[in-house]
Amino acid sequence: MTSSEEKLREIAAKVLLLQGSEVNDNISRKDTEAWDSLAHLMLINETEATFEVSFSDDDILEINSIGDLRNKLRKLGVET
Amino acid sequence: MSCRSGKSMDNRSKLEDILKEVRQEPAYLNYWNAYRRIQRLTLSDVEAPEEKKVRIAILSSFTVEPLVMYIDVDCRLLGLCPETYVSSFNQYSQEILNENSQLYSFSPDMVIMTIRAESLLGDEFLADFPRLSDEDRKGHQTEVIRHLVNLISKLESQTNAFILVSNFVVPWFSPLGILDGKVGLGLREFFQRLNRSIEDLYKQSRQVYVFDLEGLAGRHGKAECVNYEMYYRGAFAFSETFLPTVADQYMSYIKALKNLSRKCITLDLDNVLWGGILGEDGFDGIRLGEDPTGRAYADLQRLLLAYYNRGVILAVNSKNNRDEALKVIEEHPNMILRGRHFAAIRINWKDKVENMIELADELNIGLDSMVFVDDSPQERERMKQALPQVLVPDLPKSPFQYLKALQQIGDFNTLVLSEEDKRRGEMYYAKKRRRDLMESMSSIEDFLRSLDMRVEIKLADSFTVPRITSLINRTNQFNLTTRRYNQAEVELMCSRPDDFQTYSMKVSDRFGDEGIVGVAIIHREVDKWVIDSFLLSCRVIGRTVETALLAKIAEDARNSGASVLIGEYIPTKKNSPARSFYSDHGFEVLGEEENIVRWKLDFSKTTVKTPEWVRVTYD
Repeated sequence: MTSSEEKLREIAAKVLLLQGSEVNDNISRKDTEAWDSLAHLMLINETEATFEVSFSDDDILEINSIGDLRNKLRKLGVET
Repeated sequence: MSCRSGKSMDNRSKLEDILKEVRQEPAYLNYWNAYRRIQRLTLSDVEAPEEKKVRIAILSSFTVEPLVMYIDVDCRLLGLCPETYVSSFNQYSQEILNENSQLYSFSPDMVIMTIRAESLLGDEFLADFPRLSDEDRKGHQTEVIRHLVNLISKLESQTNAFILVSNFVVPWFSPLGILDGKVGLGLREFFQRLNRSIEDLYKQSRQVYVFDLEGLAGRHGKAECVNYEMYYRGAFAFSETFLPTVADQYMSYIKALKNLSRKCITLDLDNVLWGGILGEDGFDGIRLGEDPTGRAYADLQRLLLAYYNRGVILAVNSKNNRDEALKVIEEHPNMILRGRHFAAIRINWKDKVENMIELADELNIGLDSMVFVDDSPQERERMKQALPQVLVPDLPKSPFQYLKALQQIGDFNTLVLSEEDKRRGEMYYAKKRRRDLMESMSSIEDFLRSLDMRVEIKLADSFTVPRITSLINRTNQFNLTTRRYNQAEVELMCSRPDDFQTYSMKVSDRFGDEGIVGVAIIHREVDKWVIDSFLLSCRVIGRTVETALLAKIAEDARNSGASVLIGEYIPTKKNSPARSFYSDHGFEVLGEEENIVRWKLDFSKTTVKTPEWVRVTYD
């Protein structure tokens, strides 16, 4: 596991109230009770701050799962 | 642990686990995680003691959840059981103005109101500002004040809650640039005057306090107070770096409101009051006042003196040779603090934890009222482990940073500060000298006679009500019934002299003036007087002055035609020092009902006499 991957896993776990081991690409916004609009902003903000990137408004709307988040990060040059 | 219900022991331990993580690493993400997990526990707080509960309503013009999460978790870290209520987004005005709103049915103990100037002045204000006339600018000011005052007045009339209103952050940017201070009413002055007006309006209020957001923003750095991504995406007004500072300040108010403030700082000596090790560097070798490091220590002492002058008690807890250390304290030319500033001193080679327990005992205050300042991380860790109630601030490695660390402690706050409070340090020192005298006397009567005690008893008036209220709410040990009344309630009783009589008692002796240290509230009935409350500050326990107050009450009762005096005792965890008060003064027990023991003094049989060594005056 890369350290970037660990960081993303920690953010997702803490924001979405999951165990680290439960975090995977299929965790989706509609199936995760704790992933409300505030949690969404929190997830975005913590990811941006940790990886020093900035998501566009469209990116933010299109992130509906951890897999999406990882893809958007890759687009910005961050491999996790 | 105080938040609990009989059925949810499980949740209780879960809560502790959650809090442990935040305590270890108080990061933003951990606060979020803790807050959200706590919300998912079904914590029924019904069994939490009343003094641990706090109901906080937060009214704001922006997304306030991140602040709520800090306040909620910080309260729980202190052992409180908070319940929070947040107004719906930007609906604070309607909720305040509508008497049937959820805000009022929530019945808060504390209302936090924090409104951004933009939402009152409109989006175009800044753009238009350079071309507005002074007249228009003043008109805007008046409008903002009128709006706020209207809301606050409504809150004051609808609730007894403590109201905390944020002032406005004075913008660091002005479109007028370097001319901002040169025009009639510049943008900075516009906000400075607004803030001044709000503070002046509520200076005398016991219910409304102004929260200095402007000062906090300046301290944090105004450019760093907002995270603009989050501001535009979700109307978050405070950046994640600014939030802890804001939350800390709110916690200072909550601690004061819930009587969780600290009363005493115990200090190490070497590398805390002066630089160097006295045992190695000697009287002439320690650093104090002369060189850069020495000047930092002198300033630290000045800060401690400022705390002393506002009523914080200072004490010493140090591993050192006692005589050498005392010589420095009394004779070193650059010492700011002297022996008379310390209410109690432990300079020895014993365990500091043991010393701490002795100090608390000697000063008669709880360990949860004490702060331990020590430069050694090992001593600090040991203290935290052994006595978790004691506040142990981390000291930075460099002595140049000590000052800032000690200025940041928000635990000495009180909501009112009386002249008595400010003189607390002198009183504790007098107590120490009194104790020395007692030890030199052969009998307690000789000691009491030699004190030359004077007592002044009078009925409550507008000058004494604040101090009386403070005693009613803070006295735990020598308090017969521990009934708490707020100032409005005390004033109400004073306004009904046929039904109630409220006494205050001032005590002084050859070592000093203690001020008002005794209070009694009498409920007058046709042929009997009932002592509703009777309490004595722990400062004067053991000097028989309570007998003087009781004697005066008995005399007044007889003169008014009452045939009996009724006393009540309600046992609590803390008031055992008052348990035998009525039996010691010749009262007969009447019986016990719902935890209240009732006592009777029958004037046809006996009465209470003032001790011969107390000189009493009535006013």
